[in-house]
Amino acid sequence: MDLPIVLYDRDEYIETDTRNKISRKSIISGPANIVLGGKTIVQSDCFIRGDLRRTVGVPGAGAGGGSVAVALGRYCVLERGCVIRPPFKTYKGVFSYYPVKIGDFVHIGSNSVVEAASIGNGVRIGKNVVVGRFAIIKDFVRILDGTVIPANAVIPSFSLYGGNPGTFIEELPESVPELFEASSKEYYEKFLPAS
Amino acid sequence: MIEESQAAKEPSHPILYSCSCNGSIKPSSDVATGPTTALFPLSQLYFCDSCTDIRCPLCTSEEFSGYFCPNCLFDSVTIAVKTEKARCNRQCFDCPVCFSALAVVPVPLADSTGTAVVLSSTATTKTDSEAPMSYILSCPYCRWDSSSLGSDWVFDKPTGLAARSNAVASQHPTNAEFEALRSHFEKVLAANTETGTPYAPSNSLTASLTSAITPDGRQGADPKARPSSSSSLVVMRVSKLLAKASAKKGISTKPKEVGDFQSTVTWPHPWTYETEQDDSVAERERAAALSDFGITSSLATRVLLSEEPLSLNSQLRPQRTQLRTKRIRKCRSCQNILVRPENKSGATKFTIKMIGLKYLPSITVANPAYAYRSASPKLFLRIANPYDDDLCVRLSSSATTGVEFSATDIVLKGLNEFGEYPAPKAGEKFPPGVVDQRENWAVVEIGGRLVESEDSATDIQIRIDFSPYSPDRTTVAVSPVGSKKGRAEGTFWIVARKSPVVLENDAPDP
Repeated sequence: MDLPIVLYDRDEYIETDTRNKISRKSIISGPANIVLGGKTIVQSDCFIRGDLRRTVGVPGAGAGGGSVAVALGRYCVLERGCVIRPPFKTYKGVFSYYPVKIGDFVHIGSNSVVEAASIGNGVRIGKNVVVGRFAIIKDFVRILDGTVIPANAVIPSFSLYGGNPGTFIEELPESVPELFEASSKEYYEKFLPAS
Repeated sequence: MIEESQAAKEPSHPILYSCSCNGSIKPSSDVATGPTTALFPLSQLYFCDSCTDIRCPLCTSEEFSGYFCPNCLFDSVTIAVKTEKARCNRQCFDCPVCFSALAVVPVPLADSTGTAVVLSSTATTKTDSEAPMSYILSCPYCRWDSSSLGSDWVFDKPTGLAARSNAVASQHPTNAEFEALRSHFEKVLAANTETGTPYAPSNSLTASLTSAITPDGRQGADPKARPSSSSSLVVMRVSKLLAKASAKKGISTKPKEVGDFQSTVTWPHPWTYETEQDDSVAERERAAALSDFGITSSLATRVLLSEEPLSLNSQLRPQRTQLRTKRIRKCRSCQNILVRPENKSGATKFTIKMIGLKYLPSITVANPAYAYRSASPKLFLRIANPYDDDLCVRLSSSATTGVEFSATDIVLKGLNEFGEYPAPKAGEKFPPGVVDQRENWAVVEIGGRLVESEDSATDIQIRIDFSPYSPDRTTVAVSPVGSKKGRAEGTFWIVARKSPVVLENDAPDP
């Protein structure tokens, strides 16, 4: 079935030079530390915590806070009410946040909370999902609605995960890269301003 | 099973493609007269270019090309896979209660008994490098940790845990018994192979596997030992079956020089607990504990853990993470490789990838917006061309079903990989019967008796013929499947599941 056309209020969304569409009803903290790859959609009531970046003095941090806290790729979608929060831990007695990296063609369903260390390309995360701290999700993965991925979990490519705690259910077919890429592009093309 | 996969169950696959294999593992070379029972969404199909036909998960075979651990993502070599029983030989363990991956965490050194380890909340994050540390396995999800299992599961070093746990596991009577049984049947197999009975390994893979799984290093398995009850019963039963089968073939029944299996373990009789009254305090406590579901092991745990069924969570031992495989997929009829993944565990590329998506016209249910143009329920199909060159597609159905098409022969433009298509001109006329046509696709209206009937249980069956377009010939030349190698042509059937597909007119306005 074709995806339906989603019409949005033109006044609500900001369109950037790289054609990202970001709702004004979302809270984007620390925008200087957030990188969007282009053609990414952030719907209303999302919360991206770009302010939670590495504290100065930790090896690897940029001087004076130029470091990236949240990086999203191209053609990503954050549905209504998503939360993206960099993971934190205390290493050798120093508390610090670590950057979260999200690849291209990643679709995150509504009301999901993501505290992953990295998410690969072509990942479909359902609604009401919790991705634990420092989880690593590789390329072409699907996570069913309501799944809870524990902290530090690793999810290999071409997997379908579901349940609480999230466990492996089955392998995805080899055609998944093409399918996910096409549906992400279709979603962007059908996300249009009303009137 | 593949047919019951998550993807196929979803209502988002209203269009299913029919594979000519008809659900058997042998691909059929006949031109199908109708859809078969092997129905799959296009995403799960393959295309064999040497047979020029659709292949589905049923009529393709798989071969292992690599093994990796889904937790640490390290590749395993085949020999290690065999000796380690396809489990990760590094630090990866699954929680026995919730099956999450366990983390190795340092804790302050245990007291002399090794059991009174208290896992403090700061232990995972802040460690004093001066103080001597021991290491336990801890579940980040359900907070289970291995300190409750005693000193066997509290480690001095955070490395080499698999070897330590192996040593513990091999002491377990079920593992010892399994090794003993396996080595016994190795001998039976070897003896039978010499006498030429049909129990010889059927191919080289089985042979290499059986040779590798002999308990070479670990001698938990000496078959000449004390006699026992239940496992010898199993052996007797298997031996009887072997004897019966070889009698049929006229081969000597008794394998030479292999005696009866002698178990090393004495097992309690299965119904001891029910028949005998055990009034000991320990047993009464155990029975009382079983009524608390919080500490009783789940059914999944009891089924999946290899040892004997344990009724309490506190008795369960962590399992080493099972490896996953990378597989080559072959056509069963010509052994042509359809899918070959790159061997490294991290790689997501394929060196060969003959998927249906790239070789068959994709047929999807078009946007509901089209449905509002007509008064009666109609089905609108979007047909897209996966090839770079223009394609002719013919739609047909058997005459008796009463399905009508607004256009039967359609010419689709070639696919442009970068999506660079000329902009549609204002007032552009589509070919007769075509509802909408742009880029590499066209939308066709399907109507007629079957579509409009109330009977929503009936599926709509449509035959698709496709061949390359040539300007001098606008209709599809219907040719048998497999006529020319590598050509963009063929015939297949699709089934449109009616209930989610046909839109009613009372649907809300878009």
